[in-house]
Amino acid sequence: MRTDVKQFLSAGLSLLRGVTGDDAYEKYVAHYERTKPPHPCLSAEAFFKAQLEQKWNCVSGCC
Amino acid sequence: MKQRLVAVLLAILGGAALAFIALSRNESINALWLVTAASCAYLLGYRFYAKWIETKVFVADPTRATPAERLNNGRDFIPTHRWVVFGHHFAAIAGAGPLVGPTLAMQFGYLPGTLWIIVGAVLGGCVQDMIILFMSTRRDGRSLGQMARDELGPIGGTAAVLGTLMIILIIIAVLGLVIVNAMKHSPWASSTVFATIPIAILVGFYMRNWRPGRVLEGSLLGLVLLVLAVIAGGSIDHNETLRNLFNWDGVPLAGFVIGYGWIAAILPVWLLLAPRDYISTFLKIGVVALLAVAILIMRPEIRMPAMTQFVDGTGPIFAGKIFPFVFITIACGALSGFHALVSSGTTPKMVSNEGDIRLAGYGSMAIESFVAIMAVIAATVLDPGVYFAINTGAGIVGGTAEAAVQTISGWGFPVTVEQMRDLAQTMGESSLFARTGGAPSLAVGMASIFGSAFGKGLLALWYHFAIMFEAIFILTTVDAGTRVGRFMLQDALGQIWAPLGRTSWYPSVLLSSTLIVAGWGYFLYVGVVDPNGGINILWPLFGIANQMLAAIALCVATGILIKTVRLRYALITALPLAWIVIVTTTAAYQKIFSTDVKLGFFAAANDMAAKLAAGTLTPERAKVAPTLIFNQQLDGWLTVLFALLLWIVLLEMLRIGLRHLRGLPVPPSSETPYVQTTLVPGVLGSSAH
Repeated sequence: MRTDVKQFLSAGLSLLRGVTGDDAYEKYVAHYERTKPPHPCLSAEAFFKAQLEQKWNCVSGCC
Repeated sequence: MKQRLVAVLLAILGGAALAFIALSRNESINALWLVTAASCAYLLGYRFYAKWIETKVFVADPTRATPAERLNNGRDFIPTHRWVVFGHHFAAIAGAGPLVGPTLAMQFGYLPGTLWIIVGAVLGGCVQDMIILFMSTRRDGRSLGQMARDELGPIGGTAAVLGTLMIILIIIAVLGLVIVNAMKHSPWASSTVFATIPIAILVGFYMRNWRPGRVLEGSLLGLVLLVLAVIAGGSIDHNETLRNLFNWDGVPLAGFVIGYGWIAAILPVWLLLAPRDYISTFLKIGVVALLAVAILIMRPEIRMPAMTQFVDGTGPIFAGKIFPFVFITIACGALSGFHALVSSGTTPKMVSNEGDIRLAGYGSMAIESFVAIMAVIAATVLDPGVYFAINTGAGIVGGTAEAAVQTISGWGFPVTVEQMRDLAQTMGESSLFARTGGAPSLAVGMASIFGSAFGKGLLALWYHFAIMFEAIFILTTVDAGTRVGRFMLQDALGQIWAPLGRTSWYPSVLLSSTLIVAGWGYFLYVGVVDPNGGINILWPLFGIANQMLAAIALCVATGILIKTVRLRYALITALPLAWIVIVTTTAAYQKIFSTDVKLGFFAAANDMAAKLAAGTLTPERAKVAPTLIFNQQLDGWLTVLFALLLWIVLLEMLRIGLRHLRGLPVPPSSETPYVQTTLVPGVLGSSAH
C-alpha cells in the first residue's frame, strides 16, 4: 500500500517535472552522454538560457 | 463489451443532459447539466470520432519513427511521455481567450454559446488541433505557414503568415484592453498586477543564476509571492495615500501596458517573460482544477435565460445577430485558428509515438473547451442584470449609475444601484459599472463560486486573485506576441534589406519591436478612449481574424487529405471548413456593408463623421471623434483584407484539389518517408540515434 502511494507520487512528480521542463537539463545531459557529440556539453545555466531563447522565438502559446 | 456498455451509458446521459439544456425554457437549470453534457460529448468524441480518424483516416502507425526520435537533439526534438506532451500542449493552447469570449457571448443567453462550445469543439476545434498536429508530426514538425507553402503553394503560405501577424496585433490590443479595464480605478487590482513584474524578475534570477533550470522550485516561489501580493493589495486599498498612488485612469494604464510591452520585448526572455510564463502555467492548471471542484461542490443554479432578446442583433455588449456572431465571439473553446500554430510548433517535436497524437491534440482541446464551459457558468450564475451592468459600456447605458440601472432593468433584467454598490463593496472595488472586457464579470463569477464553495469571508480576495490570474496570462501574451511579431517582421524586412533580418542586430531589434508595439498600441489606445468600451469593436475583429486563420488551417488540412487519403475522408475537415467559411464571410460582409451604425464599420465611421460635421457631438466626444472615425475605417479595411485572404487560400486549395482529382500535376505531398522506430515501448530516449 505504502509502495503504491510512493509510486503514484513519484510518477506524479516526474509528470510535473516533464510538463514544466524542470528535467530538461537532465534529459539533455543524458542525451549528450549517449551520443557524445563533438561540441562541449553546455552548463546548466547556458542550456537554460538557450532553451528559453529557442522557445520564445516562435509561436509557443495561444491567447 | 464492458466498453460498449460504458459508451452507451455515456451517450444516454450526455444526450439527456443536452436535451434538458436545450428544452428547458424560462426556468433556471443547474450548472451540473452543462458540465455533464459537455463531459459526455468530449469523452464520446475522443473515444469514437478521434479514434476513427486516428485508425481509419491517418492510419497512425506505432512502428513509425516520429521527428522527436529521428531528429532527437536532446533539446527541442526529444521523445516525450504522452501525458507530458498532453500537459505541455494544454498549457500552450490555454490562455485568456476561452475565458473572455464565452463571457461576452452570454448576452445571447447561455444556450447558443454552450451548444457551439460543445459541438464546435467535438467536430471542429479538437479535430483541427489533432489533424494539424498529426500532419506536422509527419512533416518533421513543420509550421502551419511552411505546410501551407509546401502543400498549397506560395500564395497560401504568404496568407497564413500575414494572417498570423495581423491576429497577433489584434489579440494583444484586445487583451491589453481587457486588462486595462480591469485595472482602471482599482488600486487593489493595479498594485497586484504591477507586483507581478518584480516577482517575475526575481523568479527569473532564481531560475537562471541561483538554481539554474529549477523551474519547479522557482514557479512555486513565484506562486507564493503572488498570493502574498494579492493579500498586500488589500492593505494598499485600505491605505489612503497608497490607494491614490495606484488609482489610475484608462489612458495612463494603456500607456503603461504599451511601455511595458516594448521594454519586455527587447529584454532577454529569461528575465521576465519566461519566469512569468512558468508561474502562469501553474496558476492555469491549479485554478482550472479548483474551479471544476468548486462547481461540483456548489452546483450553482444558472440565472441567465436560455436565450435573451438580443439574439436579434440589438445586444449591448457587441452588435450583430446570433448568426454569425456567436460563432465569431467564441473562438478559443470551440474552434480557434491560433491553435494550429501551436499544434505545428513545439508539440510535434515532442511526440514519441503517432498513437499519442489523439491525446495531445484532441484531448487538450477538449479540456480547453471545458474551461470555456466553466467561463459560461461563471458568467451565467450572476444575476443577468448584474452581468449586463458590468459588461455594458457607459456610452450605451448612460454615464451614471441611475441611468444604467434604469436602462438595464428596462430590458427585463432588474438590477438596482444598491445591489451594484454592495457587490462592488464586497469585491473590494469602488464601482463595477461598465467594467467591459469580460475580466471583471468573470472575476465576480469566479469569486462567487469559490466563495460559496470555500467560505464567503474572502470574496474580495478571490476577486482580485481572479483578476491577477487573468492579468498574468494576458501580460505573457503581450510579451510573447510582441516578440513573435518582431521576428516575423524582421524576417519580412530582411527580404528588403538583409541586415534588418538579423535578429541579434540591435537597431533592427529596436525598429521592429517599436513597429509591432505601435501596431497594437494604436488599437489599444483607441479602444481605451472609445466611450462604448472598445471591446465591442475589437473582439469581433479578433474573432474574424482568428476564424480566418482556422479556415486557412482547415484548408491546408483538407488539401492534404484530398491528396493523400480517400476523398470522402476529406469531409472531416471540409465540413468544419465550410461552416467556418460561411460564418466568417457572413460576419465580414455584415461588418463591411451593414448600414446599421452599431454593426457596420464604415456605417459607424460615416455616421460619426456626419455628426461631427453637424456639430451635434458633445465636446468630449468631438475631441476623440476623428480618431474613432479613422479607426472604424481602418477596421473595415482590415476586415476586407481578412475576407480576401480567406477566399484566396480557399480557392487555391480547391484549385489544387481539383487538379489532383483530374490527374494533373500538383505540389507533391511533403510527408517524410517511413522510418521504423527503434524506441522500446515505454522506455523513452532508449534509441541509439
